[in-house]
Amino acid sequence: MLEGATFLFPWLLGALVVLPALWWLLRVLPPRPKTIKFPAFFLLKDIGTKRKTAARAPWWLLLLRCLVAALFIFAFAEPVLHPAARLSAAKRGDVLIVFDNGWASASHWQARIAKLDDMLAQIGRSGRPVVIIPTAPSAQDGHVHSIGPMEAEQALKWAGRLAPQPWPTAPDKAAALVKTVRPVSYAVLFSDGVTPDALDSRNLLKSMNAVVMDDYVNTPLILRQEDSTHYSVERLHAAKHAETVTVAAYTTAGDIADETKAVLPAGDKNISFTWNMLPQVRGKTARLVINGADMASAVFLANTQWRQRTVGIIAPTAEQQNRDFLSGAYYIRRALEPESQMTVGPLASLLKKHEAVLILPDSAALTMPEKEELRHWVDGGGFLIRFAGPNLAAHSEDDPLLPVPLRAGARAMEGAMTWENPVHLGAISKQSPLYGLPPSPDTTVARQVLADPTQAVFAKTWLQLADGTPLITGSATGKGTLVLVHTTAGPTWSNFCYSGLYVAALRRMVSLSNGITGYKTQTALPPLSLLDGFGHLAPPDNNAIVKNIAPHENFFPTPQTPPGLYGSALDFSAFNLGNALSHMQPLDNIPSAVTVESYNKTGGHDLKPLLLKWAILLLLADTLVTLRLRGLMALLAFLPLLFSTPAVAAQPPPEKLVSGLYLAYIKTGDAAIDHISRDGLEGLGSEISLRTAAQVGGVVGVDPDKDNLAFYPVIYWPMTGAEPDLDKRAAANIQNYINQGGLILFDTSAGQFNNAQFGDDTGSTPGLRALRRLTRDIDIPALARIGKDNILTKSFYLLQDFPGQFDSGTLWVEKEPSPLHDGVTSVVIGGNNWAAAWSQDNGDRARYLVQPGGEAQREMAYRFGINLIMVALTGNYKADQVHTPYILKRLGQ
Amino acid sequence: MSGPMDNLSKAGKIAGNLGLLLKAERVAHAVMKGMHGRRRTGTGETFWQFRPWASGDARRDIDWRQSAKRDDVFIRQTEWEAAQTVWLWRDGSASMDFGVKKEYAETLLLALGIVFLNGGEQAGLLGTGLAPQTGTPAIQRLFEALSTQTELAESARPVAAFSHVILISDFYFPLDALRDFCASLAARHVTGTLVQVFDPAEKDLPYKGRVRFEDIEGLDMDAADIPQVEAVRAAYTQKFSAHQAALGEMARRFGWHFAAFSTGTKPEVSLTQLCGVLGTHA
Repeated sequence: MLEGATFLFPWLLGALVVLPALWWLLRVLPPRPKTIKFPAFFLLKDIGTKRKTAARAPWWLLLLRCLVAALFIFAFAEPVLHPAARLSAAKRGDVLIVFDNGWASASHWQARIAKLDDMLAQIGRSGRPVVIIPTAPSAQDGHVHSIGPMEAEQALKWAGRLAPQPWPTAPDKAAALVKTVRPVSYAVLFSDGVTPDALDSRNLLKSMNAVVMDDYVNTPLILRQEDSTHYSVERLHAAKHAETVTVAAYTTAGDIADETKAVLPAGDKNISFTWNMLPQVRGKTARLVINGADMASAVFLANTQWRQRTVGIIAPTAEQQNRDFLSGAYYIRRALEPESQMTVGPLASLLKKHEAVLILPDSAALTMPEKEELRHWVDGGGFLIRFAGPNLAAHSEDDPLLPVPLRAGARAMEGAMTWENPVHLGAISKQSPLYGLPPSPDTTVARQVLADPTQAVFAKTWLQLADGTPLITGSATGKGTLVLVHTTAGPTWSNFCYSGLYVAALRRMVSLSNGITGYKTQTALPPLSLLDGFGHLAPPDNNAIVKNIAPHENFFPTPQTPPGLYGSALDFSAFNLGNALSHMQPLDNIPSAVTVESYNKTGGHDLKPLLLKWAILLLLADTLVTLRLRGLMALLAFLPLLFSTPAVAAQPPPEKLVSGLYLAYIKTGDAAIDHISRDGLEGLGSEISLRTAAQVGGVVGVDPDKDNLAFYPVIYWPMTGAEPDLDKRAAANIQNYINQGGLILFDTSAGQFNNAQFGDDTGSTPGLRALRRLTRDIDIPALARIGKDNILTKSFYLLQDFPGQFDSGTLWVEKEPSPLHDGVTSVVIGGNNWAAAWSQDNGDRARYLVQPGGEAQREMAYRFGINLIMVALTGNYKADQVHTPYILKRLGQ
Repeated sequence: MSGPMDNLSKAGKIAGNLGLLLKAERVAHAVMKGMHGRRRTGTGETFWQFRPWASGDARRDIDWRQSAKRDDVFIRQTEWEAAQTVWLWRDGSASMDFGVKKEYAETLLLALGIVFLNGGEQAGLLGTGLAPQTGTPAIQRLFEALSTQTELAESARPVAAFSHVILISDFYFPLDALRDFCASLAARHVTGTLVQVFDPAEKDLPYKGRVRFEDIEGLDMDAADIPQVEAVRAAYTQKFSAHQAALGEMARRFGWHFAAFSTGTKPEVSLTQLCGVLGTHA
């Protein structure tokens, strides 16, 4: 093993000659015996003196101690195993290090720097000067520089300041620089594994002796936005195993607003996924980040259009004041009011204000030039929602603002001259951007404009009537989108405007809009906040050479235009690294003359820590042996007391569980979800202890397969959709729990936005599907929507709704709770992700953003939680109050 | 001038010390309950028994009142009125500080004191200035004087003839000095009991491996360094037994008694045995 080891201080080995002396000394001085002061000493004295010769330490103890001493001597002589032979002092000349510090090098940057430090330390030992060439252009002047020649110590200091840059490397310029450094005894490339140009990299590699690269360190990830709801993640190598990445949406304040997961399947580099964020979540999102990847390419910055979905409603000036219930603008305003900023005005003024979405009700008649201008705006990335009406029905020919060609005239299904009845809405197809919205069975349409029934119309239909004619059509036009609602915005032609679907559809459409990056009047945007190599935003550096950027410019990251936010604080555009990068090309075809090293620091292994470790271990063993010889082993019984630490997440013993109130959640196996559940219940527990007489002892994660559930009054069960099926034993356990009067809160949201109702048979969210699948073997009683006088509404607080992180869908409870269970429901099913709303961080500060109601909604979430626990603890005790009004009424009589 | 604090600390001290006394009383009562048939006569009582007058009895011993009631002449016997004096001593040296030997010895001493005082005997502490006490409450005085008792010696108050001496110690010293002391007492017709109190460890020597033994009294500066205690254990136990045998032999030579108790036995048990030994003597 010590073959090839050299010592930095070989003269210290001379100390080995004292070992024999040590041996002799240790032999002469035996270990101190245990001493006892003894009363009957005079009896012992004569016996003791029979063997007066001092006992000697056993030979193996001597050997052990000499070994310890030898190890210490070797350790302080600083042996180095396998010092890179090429770096050894045989050859003279500079050592050249070419270091990739482009965007891809941010992955495992510390490992790169550690390797660099290690190599510089080796070079320092050989006493040669070193030249370093970072391959990314400098932020100060945009050129690639060579640093040095310098001493290794100086290079170490310089390496401490090296940072990854958020733009690609320039291997061609580096290759040119390499040729200027002479004489070079040894050249090594620290590669990030990605090449912007294979040919340039080959040229660079030709002049290298070695390249440092491995697949564990070079793991760059790129996050791209494909369109407003689709994103993709790319990795460098199609690895054999699947990899799950979590993408989180952060607000400006740094809170997590939403999260989603994407699985990079084995053998695949790319994954594209859909992420339908709630409009209000999207509005607060400042950036999307792949968790754990500290890289600029794994960050997607949102621009202003994300934040403020400004909507313009085109109307003649006279209608601004017109609050007539028949006016379409009124219903549009009411549908969008809480979330979006709205302006009502003539087209000319709205176009100047760079609205993200324009809505054109039929009442606003536009001239042909105005229509052309609007069409130009849509092509530039605008999102136009147009409503039909008498005007459109009369003048539909040659209209440039239609997603599908229309037949002249309107189709009327109700009136004196028709036999037809008003038509109901049809199902929403899966391809439609509106898929997943709640159906509206009561809506009927009496009049509509009809599309020419070509094949193309079907692809463009977003929402259709029961007879198959389109109600909402949309198509991409240029960079923008054109949407037509084939009926009026108001109630003139249809009662669509009264339905919840109308509101949901309008909001969904607004959230689909990209914003209009191309329609800016500004010609050059100044840098506002720029990404560094690790994906952190920082104000621009004064020394940097960052230029203003033109909004139309095809963005490519360079030192002059690093990725980041450009514009003013109120209106900025985001230029993202991920979207600007083409697919990653791995660096391969390494010439055979070039040795490939890994980033592990095995190159020159410093044996000192290892030797010291062994010396100390042996010293410890010696202490144990000495203690044993002196009969003091009993002292060691106290050692476990010193080192034992209370188990953090261990389940409390049953006797403890019985004596206190413990909240439980079902462990899903997904660490992130379990963490949220635990945090959430702890947060709820502290609120309960604070506000009510109940004192929560703690939170326990349970596994229905193994644990006894009888200790817990309430169990919180989040559905992720990825749980394995319950086996028979677990199902029986849960069934038993329900039958014995337990209460389970099923949460079907699992961190995903869910607006499908529970009764919907399509079962669109993974949480719902999981719930159905998991409860297949459990006899859950008939369910009903929670009633107004359900005990849950009054067990502690008076509540009318039960929000969590979201406020959507209804709560389902047992229809007729068994009197055996005190009339208390045994299951509560909903999808509001309560745990996220309940969770607090260590400073009692809320951890997850609550939508849409903010802190007031979080308070309601706590109240729901407290009511739930109270129901579980006190049963229908408060249900008596249901009758209070009647009792009071009778007393009054 | 004693402030409240002084009183308080004094009270605390008394309360703390009373623990030992209470324990001794508990031990003594366990014994007294078990001694059926023992007649108790206090010093305040004058009556022991009447016996018909016989020739040779002194005339002044005749109880005229009693004789007037009956036909015979009765004398009032006063032989038992003269209580025997018991001198108690416990070893206070450093060797008694090993384990609970000293506490055990003091418990035993005080319990004996209670038994004797209750039985109307006089009890005194050897080697202190305290006069022999009578009456049950006097145990408190014995208890207070106990801490001043140190050496095995007759102090200002010599041991009167026909008294009884009880010596409680571990007797870990050469027997010559003890023999001289006992001989001087025995010469005055003083009877006695040697009570050895020892720690179980002193008998069994339960140590292992290499141990360095030092004298607990610090008299012998040398230390006994024993490389393997197991090896000498048998020899030691033999020596210990021989020492005990020598003590017993010495006691028997003076007509005295010898008893040995390990601190592992309950003091009640030890006291019962001891009273049995003393009872045969009395």
